[in-house]
Amino acid sequence: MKVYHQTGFRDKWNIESFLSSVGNGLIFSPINIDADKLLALDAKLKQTGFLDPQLYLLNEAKGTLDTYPFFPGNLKPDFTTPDLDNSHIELAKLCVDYQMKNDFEYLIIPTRYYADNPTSYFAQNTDYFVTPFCDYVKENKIQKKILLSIIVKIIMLTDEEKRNEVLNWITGHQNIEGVYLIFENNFSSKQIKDFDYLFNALKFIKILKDNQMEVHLGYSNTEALLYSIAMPDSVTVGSYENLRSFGIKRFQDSEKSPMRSPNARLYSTKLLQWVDYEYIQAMKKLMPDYADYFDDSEFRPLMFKPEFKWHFAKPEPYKHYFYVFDRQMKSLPTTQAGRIDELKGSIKNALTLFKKIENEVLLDDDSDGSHLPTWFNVINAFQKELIK
Amino acid sequence: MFKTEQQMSLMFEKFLKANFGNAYLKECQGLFGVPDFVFYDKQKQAVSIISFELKLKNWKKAAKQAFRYKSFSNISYVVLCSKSANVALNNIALFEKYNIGLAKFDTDSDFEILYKPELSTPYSDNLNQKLVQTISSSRKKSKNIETLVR
Repeated sequence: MKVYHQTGFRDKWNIESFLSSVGNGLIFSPINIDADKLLALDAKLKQTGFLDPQLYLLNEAKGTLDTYPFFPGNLKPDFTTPDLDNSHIELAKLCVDYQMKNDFEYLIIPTRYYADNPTSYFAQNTDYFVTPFCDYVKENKIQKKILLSIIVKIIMLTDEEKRNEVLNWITGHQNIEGVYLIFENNFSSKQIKDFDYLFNALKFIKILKDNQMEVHLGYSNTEALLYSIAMPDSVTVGSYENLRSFGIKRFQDSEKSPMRSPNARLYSTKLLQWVDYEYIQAMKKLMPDYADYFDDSEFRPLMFKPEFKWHFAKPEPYKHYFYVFDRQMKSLPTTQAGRIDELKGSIKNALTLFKKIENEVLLDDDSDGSHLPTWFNVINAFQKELIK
Repeated sequence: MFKTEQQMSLMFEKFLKANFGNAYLKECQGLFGVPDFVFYDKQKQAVSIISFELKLKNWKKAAKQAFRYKSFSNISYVVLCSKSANVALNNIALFEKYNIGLAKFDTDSDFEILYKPELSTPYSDNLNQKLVQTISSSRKKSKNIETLVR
């Protein structure tokens, strides 16, 4: 299973980590990197990665998105959905050509985002994106693998009819190697604790794998570990929270509304949790063995120095996460049964460690491992599903 | 019964002023959580900080918030209305275990300490210093702080 870097703001950290052999490739983000700058990047950074075209909102010129030749506003200033009727072929050509010029590992078919998908959503996606894209690839005898990008809304996971509709749509296309799958995340907690959501996400991935599709999971957070038991082809690591959880706000130009900076957090492979660094300060004062709960990396000595000024915008906690999480994913057994056993064992260990911590430190719901009992139940339910 | 937490906060502020002086900050931002009140007592070089989290319900959430405030405070209190305080009292072991103060406060401004914690060192030197700097030039006076500490 591969681990891609979901890049965004401060993609420099991902690139530096990737060049230090952390992760298998980079997923590039047009809103964060100028089109010409991306073209000029070293080929070795691109040959193992791909581009997320980010046409989610069609004509919203967030960040550097309008520097891309396939940005609809560059075809027509006030580009709207009806304009796709006349421009979809040109748009597909520009999108494929740009991706080919960069020589990425995969070609990605864009997708749209709606707060509530219209009834014609799948038909529109087929007509405006999938068909012209695949036709152009075929006409030009392009050999690269094609991934279909799709945002999976919560209702597509929890409602059986909607789930079947989207799965039928995905698996109904010829010439598609797989999917770049993005689970929309509207949860207020930092970890997903919803049994139905997680269980259905696993079933969703499994069905795609049963249909011999490559499944690449974008915007994943720690639940990538859980998703690994459905045997996806890749998961992602990302720095800021909006790269580990998909929300459309990141692509809206109105994002300038005042935002509260999150507290810095440190990921622990032993706890399967990001822990607010202020709790690490409390652990340091109250637990002589506090450091044992956290992983080693080249960044740890600096972070654990008393003079280290923790801040969510500092690179070390993220680079540490990229490194330890990549190793954690790569150390998982290759068999599904092996992964299930290993993950259950890791969850039990983490819960034991949390009990020890909570003898001294009263953690809040975003640091206390309270997602882990749900994970355990989800794994058990998924195991039963596998026997069916 | 208080109708809202805002009403409780307004009455508690009056109570705090009358009984403990005006050396406090209200809803102080930029720390670890946002305590409803941060009360301070300056004695020569030493500054003692006492944080208060007011809640009408959900004592456990309040306890978790109060624990956060121990990052920069020497004492941290959960202040509940009578009804919630009785529920919390059934779980007094949690307050003892984490050395978090518990008090009840009513519409008649009756303040009763149910668990009085020990003075402790804040967990985060950075946050504590940040707060101490904020209040360093303050000339506001505190009184009766000893009644809040074991």
